[in-house]
Amino acid sequence: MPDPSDIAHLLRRTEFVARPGRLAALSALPTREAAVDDVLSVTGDPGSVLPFASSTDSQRVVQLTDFWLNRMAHDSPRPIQERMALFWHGHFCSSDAKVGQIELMRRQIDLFRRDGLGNLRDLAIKTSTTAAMLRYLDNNQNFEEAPNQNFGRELMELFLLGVGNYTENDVVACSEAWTGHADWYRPGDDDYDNGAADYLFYGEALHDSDPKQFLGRTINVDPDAGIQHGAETIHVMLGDPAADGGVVPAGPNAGRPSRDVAAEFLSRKLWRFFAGTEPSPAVVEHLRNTATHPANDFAIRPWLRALLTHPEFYTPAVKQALVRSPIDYVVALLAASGVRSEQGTPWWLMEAMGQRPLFPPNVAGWKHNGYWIGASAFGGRAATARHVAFYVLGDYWDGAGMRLAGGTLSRAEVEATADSPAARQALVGRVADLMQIALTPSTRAALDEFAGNAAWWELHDLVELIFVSPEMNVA
Amino acid sequence: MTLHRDISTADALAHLHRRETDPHALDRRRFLQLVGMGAGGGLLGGASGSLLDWFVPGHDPSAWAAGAVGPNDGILVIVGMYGGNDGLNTVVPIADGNYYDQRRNGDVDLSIAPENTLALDSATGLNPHLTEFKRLWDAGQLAIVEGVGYGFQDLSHFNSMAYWMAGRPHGPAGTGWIGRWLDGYLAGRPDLYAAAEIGNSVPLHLLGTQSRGTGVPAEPPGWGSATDTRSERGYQAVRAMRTGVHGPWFDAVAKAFGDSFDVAATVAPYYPPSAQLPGEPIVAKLEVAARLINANLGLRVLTAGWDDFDSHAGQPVMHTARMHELDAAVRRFYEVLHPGWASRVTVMTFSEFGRTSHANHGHGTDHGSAAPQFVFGANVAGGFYGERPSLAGLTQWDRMPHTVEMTSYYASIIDGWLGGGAGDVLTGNLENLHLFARPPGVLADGTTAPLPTVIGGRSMLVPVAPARVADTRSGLGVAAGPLGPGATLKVRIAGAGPVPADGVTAVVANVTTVAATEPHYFTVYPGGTARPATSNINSGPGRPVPNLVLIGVGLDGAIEVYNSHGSAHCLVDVFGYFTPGAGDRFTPLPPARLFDTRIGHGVRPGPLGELERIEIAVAGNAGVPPGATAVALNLTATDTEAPGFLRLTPTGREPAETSNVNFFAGDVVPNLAICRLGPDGKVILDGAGPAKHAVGDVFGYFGAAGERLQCGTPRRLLDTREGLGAAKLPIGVDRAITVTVAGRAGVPADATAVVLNVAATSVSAPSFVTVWPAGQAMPGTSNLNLMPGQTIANLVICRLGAGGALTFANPLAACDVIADVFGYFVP
Repeated sequence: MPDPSDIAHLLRRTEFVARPGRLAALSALPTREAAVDDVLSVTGDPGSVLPFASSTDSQRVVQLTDFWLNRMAHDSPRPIQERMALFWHGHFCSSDAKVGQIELMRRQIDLFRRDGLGNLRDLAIKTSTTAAMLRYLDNNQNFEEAPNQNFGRELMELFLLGVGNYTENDVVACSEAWTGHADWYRPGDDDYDNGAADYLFYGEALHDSDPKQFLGRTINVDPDAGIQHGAETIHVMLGDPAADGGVVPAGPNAGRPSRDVAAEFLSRKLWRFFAGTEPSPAVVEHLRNTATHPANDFAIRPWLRALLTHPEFYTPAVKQALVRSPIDYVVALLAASGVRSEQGTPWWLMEAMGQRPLFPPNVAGWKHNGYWIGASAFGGRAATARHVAFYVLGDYWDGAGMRLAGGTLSRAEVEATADSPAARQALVGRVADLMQIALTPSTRAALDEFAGNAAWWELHDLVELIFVSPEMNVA
Repeated sequence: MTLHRDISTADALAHLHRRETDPHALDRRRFLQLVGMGAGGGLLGGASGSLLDWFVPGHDPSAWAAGAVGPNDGILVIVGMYGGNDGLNTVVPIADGNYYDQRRNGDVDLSIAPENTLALDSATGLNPHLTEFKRLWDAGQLAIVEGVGYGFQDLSHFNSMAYWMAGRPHGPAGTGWIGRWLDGYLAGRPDLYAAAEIGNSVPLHLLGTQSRGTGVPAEPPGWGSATDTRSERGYQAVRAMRTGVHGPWFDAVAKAFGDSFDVAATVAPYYPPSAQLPGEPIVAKLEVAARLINANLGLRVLTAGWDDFDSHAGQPVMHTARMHELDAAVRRFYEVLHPGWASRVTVMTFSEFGRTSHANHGHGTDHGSAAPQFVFGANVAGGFYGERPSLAGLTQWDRMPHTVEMTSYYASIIDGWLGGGAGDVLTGNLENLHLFARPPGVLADGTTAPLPTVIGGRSMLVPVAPARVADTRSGLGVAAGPLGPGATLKVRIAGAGPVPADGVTAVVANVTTVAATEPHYFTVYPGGTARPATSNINSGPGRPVPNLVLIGVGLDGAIEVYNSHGSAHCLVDVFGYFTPGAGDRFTPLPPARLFDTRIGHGVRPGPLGELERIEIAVAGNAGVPPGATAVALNLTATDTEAPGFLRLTPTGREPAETSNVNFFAGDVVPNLAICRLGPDGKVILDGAGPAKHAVGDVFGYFGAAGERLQCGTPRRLLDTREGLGAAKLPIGVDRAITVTVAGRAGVPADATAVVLNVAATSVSAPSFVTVWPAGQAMPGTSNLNLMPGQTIANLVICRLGAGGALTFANPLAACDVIADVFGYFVP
């Protein structure tokens, strides 16, 4: 039987929070590996926000954000699907601030949600030709006569290889291979209210169809297959050097297969996202070998399985190492309270905390841990905690009680503690249980002191105090 | 040639406004690579690999290393114009035909005609919306630095903004120029109030290697700023969640919430309600900046910015709006800024680049290079600096050469206004442009302007001859007539009686309630701030009760007195004031009895007769050394047979028409007194009424050496009725309580003594309360003398003991105690 604390840790990192039902079910499995398999047993299409209820983009942004956060917090039977999509959203970044059409973001996010556990190669190719990405990194303005290297460079530097593992000539070649990919309405498809928006428009006349040297390979040799030329760069970067794979031309990795370098690059990023620490060399090697194993060949699920089953994932250093991002934090608040995103997470509070879905700050995405911590950003968290607590209390004073994920605590039950400090302290445990969160002894002691001294009519402050506890902010 | 589109201004800003630097992440390398360093180079020189070292480098939440701004400290306000401001339509070269040619493109003409500008000279006109800048120019207080830029202009918003914020063209952008200045200024000491961005996050230019600026909100802060007991109890619970046993991030998170509460509580009193702030964000931000300067929290650098300067298209409407906002923001800034700060405040602008001289086809201009920047303030030497770049021969995509290096621009500010050290902060061309007519604080006549009135600011005591400054019975200083229920009386302190009009941070006064119609209390607090949930004096019908207050004076030079119930008259007698300039410093002592007429301790034995004067030697006794100039002592009247008062006067002076303690027959009444000593180190004790005894307990003294007072807005520290600061139980015979003060209720960890108002209520039997430094034996002194049925308050100044704590005891009977913090002493 696995250690329940390991399972709780696994669930916090993969499903945002350790829901009691999931914790019980997975703890009853024979091994930790079986628990990981259960977490990863995603079946079925995760669905989509469509149809949009409004033709106004600003309202569609809100609807899509709420849909996604509700999936993370409440509605997904296997939240790893949404958490993985969040990873890819922060990796293959696009921001609606530049894309400017939320339907385009919707398609890209849905791609991450649907295929986020599929295969890196397929995902990279599909993402590259989403209209959101074409717009975000200017590949829609990358033409043979006037190349724009923004996308070609980032594809190598930020998406697949990491900086320093290519030459400027490779950037030129990659950018040229991706010329001719504009975004355009489909002819006759102008019904924007029903989701019509730009798609990839490949313009042969705008494409540079000459053969190019890329990572030691000659690519784009078939001038009639221009629309495949861009994808060839990804095939080379991730390919077997014995077949079509590339070789790193310069830097510390010079001479190594580019796919090994890519596998290490992504392995590190996955580890940081799920574990929060720097991966050890042994971890990187293990994950790289998993990714490049012929049976896997960059399949994401076995890659992630190798990560989640690795013994180092369960060390104390890793278990203590991840500050919840603002998105993770609001998901934890929503999950603990049962409040839905439509009420709980207005965009201005997300911005005050420093992270808003669909609006990453730049192409490098979001960072981790200390990146989120600061007096100002945590003022935003405190405001969010109060905001959600407001909905938890709802009609509390009218007798409805405080509604939390695990049930309702009636006002009468709170009032009954009026004359007993011990009873008020017991209420701390009750509220935490209803939030489905385990408090550390120190937090419990701090809250016990508060409750012991509070009047009964002040006890609902426990909701917001637990919301700002470290337990709620560290996954 | 086409302009390379790059990531937008908003994206670049979002990246440059970082909450944290993650030294090991790919993203960092990406960032450095973007700013021209390449991977791995120049990482955060000196920062360790630990993320924890970075994000809050040892900040004590309430730490305030640098202290208040001094009389000759310069304050810098940096205004960022994000997106690339069009310099040519800001400072218009009205005599340059090239400008008028190049700004015309087919039907498009983006030029501003000479007659439409605000002419500065025959060759220069300001944008017509910059009327406030014209006023500054006419006053000789606006420097226009022409052609500021750097070589090999980068046309990306992202890169160029990184260079400007870093202060390193094409250099590493791990730290910002003000951040590195902060590193030197603070020398590693923690300080949340040395530099701040008015906005949601901390921009690159405020990040140093060890130190960093604080982000303060552009709107009144929320959670953390309330002062009621329930809120304070909540804050204490959150702080108590830090333990050190659950891993580094666990504690860091709890600390960050504590920090956010502290910043909120510190700045909140200086904000107007949201609805009263201007609607345009930059105008509101500069109003907040002015208010925070007025408050003298110690901020030396304030930064704020706004965007939408990237006028590729529709420039006329867009740039006009920006110029209008800039002008409104500066006007608002000076409207709100206390004039006494003018000689210490300089404002400067920056933008990542200017714009092309040629208009494009879209009624706009594209990313350019050099541009003029503004530096203004009362001590700025107005005029033109640098050289206006020539437009001769520029074609569509040519950019103007720069004539002033960005590093020289910054160096002129650092060396001219921030105390020097440009060579430690910047490299490259550091030519000083000599933008300033006078150093900070110095007026045209060569004298230093007095510091304006502020709340707090580390200050020293200036005792004065006691003087009544307010009396609602006679209408002295205030309107005649009692305070009704819920009424607030504003009492002007600055300029009242012996108190000077400027530079007063706090006042020592007796506030007396007279002719109360119901049991009630007064809350005394700094003028113009939100009324805190604290109290100072409790009284009821038939009992005039004085209590000493040591209270921060508001920015309006006043204190306010709030009456809780019924009606009552109010008297205010001033004994001294505190100022950052010059005065006496405080040394706290362990409480010790100085004199007691009942047993002849320190004085001759026997009761005090009607107006009989007794000299009491203070210096040389009870721990007070020779040379002390004033003493903080608790004066108690006892064995009283008829109504009367006690009074302390320095030797060599005639007693004034004020009193320290008022009593009725049978009362045992204490009141704290801060009394100047005569030249011989003595005071005169006298009082009205037949035979009565007097007891004096010393808590500290003032002199040339010692510590300074920092007053803040009052905060409740302890309330045993509410379980705040201690368990919800009365103190009593076997129940003394020790309360940690340092690090709570706004008192920093390095405070040595604290100013409290201590009240006792629910008294079970005649008894007394004594307060002393934790870890020591109970002294033979007292602070409050209690009778059942009364609520009694007294000011307490007490040295902090072990663990920064105080012990409260009532050795005879049970009572609840309430303590509010009004200030503290720090080195």
